[in-house]
Amino acid sequence: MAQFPGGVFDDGLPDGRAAASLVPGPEAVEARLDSGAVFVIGYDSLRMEFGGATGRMLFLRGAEPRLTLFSEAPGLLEAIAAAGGPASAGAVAGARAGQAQTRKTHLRNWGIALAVLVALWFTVPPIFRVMVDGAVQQLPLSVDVKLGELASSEMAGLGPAITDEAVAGFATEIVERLRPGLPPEIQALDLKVTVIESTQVNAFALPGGRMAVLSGLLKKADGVDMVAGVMAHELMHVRHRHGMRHIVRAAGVITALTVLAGDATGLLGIAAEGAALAALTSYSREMEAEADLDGVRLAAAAGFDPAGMPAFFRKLSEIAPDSQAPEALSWMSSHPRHDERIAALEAAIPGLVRAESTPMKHTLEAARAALKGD
Amino acid sequence: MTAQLDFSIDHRPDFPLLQVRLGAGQSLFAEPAAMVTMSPALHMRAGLKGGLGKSLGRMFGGESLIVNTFSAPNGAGAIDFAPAALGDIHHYALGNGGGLMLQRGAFLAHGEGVTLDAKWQGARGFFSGNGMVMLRAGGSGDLFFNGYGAVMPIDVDGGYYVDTGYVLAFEDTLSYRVTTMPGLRPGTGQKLKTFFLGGEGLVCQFSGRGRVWVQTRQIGSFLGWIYPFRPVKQRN
Repeated sequence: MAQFPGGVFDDGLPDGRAAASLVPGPEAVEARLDSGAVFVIGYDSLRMEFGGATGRMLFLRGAEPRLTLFSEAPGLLEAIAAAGGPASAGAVAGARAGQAQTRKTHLRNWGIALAVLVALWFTVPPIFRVMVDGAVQQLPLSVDVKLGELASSEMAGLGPAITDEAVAGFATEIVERLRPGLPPEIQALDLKVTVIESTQVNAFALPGGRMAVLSGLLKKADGVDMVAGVMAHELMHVRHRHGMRHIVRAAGVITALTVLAGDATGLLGIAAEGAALAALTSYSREMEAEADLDGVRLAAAAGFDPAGMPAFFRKLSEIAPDSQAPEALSWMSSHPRHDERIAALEAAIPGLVRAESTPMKHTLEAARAALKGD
Repeated sequence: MTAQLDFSIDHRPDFPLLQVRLGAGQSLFAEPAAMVTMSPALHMRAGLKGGLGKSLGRMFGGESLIVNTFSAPNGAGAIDFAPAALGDIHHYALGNGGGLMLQRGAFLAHGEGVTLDAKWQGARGFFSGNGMVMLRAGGSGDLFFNGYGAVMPIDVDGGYYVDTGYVLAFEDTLSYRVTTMPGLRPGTGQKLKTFFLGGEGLVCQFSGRGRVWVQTRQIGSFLGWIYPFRPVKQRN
């Protein structure tokens, strides 16, 4: 007769349970212990159900309420059906019905979970975006300015500011030429630009309008239009308040996590810090695309050649390997897909109206000449 | 079942040390980096135990790919183990007909005859915070596991609730599901507020017969408590 490894629960046993071999016979299932003891449950009173941690353990109970046999060995149910024939048929049918019911419930739960996930996937991001934009609009621009002040320590860490008029004046003149294309409330901000001595080819804007151009950019740029394209892009981050949006978005995610995860505060704290940092460092791809397209329009409206921005991207992809852009505040290393951005810009450029170009008082050449080590 | 290995657990419950005295020819399997001291007679070998499949299973169950095997080929010797977390070590003798389910990271060491398998837990594993995969110890022999804080066994006969973060191990004769606290089911008026603000979100509901081991502290809560006191790197 086939034997199935399993066990017995019985109050008479030391510790209440013991290992046993389950043996289905013609009239009853026997549980044989190593000690020689035998427990028997007759088919006339047998009830069976699947359960246990895996859901695949078969539990056998009879008339004696405190006696339970159990086994997870495959084939036990079939062996009981074969050994008992009609005598065990009722109990076997009961176990199978229970199993089928459990499967149905599982399937239904998974179905519901999947449907909810799909629904959330499609509905949450757009709703969230609308909520974030609404929240940012409620916040005055002075919040952006404060935020920019908080983050300006990042700027100081990058290197010394260059005060030479040929360099600082060049950057300021570009901003002043771009300024009229911005909405009045943005024009009213202190759009101050600082040139920082650095080998990095980079520029960035902080919320509230403070901007930094790293001198590596001036050294590598092939003309004023490239520099203007980059600065117009950065100004558009300020104009669309991308920094604020990012932070509100991160704060929203953290709030949602708190509500969902209950008391997992430790991990949340870590996540929160990471999210806050991410909010200040890199923008999402849609934000970058927005800054690209509006930036190129702004540059053209100020009389700069809009082709400067895509040309700069091309230049970046050439020099990207030796990019030492800091992880924080990086303009380029966190933005993959230069090709995509160049293509999008070049598609937009023919439709742009370029204002009449007037010569700059400060030239890139003069700025470069004034830069140390050039 | 009585223990096959000669062992003792001292300095309980905060900083316990497990000592196993291996007889000639006996072997012991332990998670890496758990050894503290060892007799020179013993021999150690690191490797993937049970092949790549079982090793990957262990990894998904929150344990290491590698298992260290300690053997006594040339005569008896003693060896001490310490778990990474500060908390008690418990012994369980497998071989009473069922297996033991272990929370992530709970495994410390086992003797010969014990098998470790990964068991897919799906959604309930996810919501219980124990991971989608749990380890199941089967076969027969000695198993040592460790928790965070003290370890308290509870005999379940019928049903029992344990906060998901405190479940350390349980016998596989118990069924379990992850659920909200009874009386806090959503849709029952102000209960939602209690659910979200009470910090007692999800519980493991055990049913059937078997034993559950509960750890008396939760590492996540501790992290949350200590987080505000951490040193913060000053950026220039």
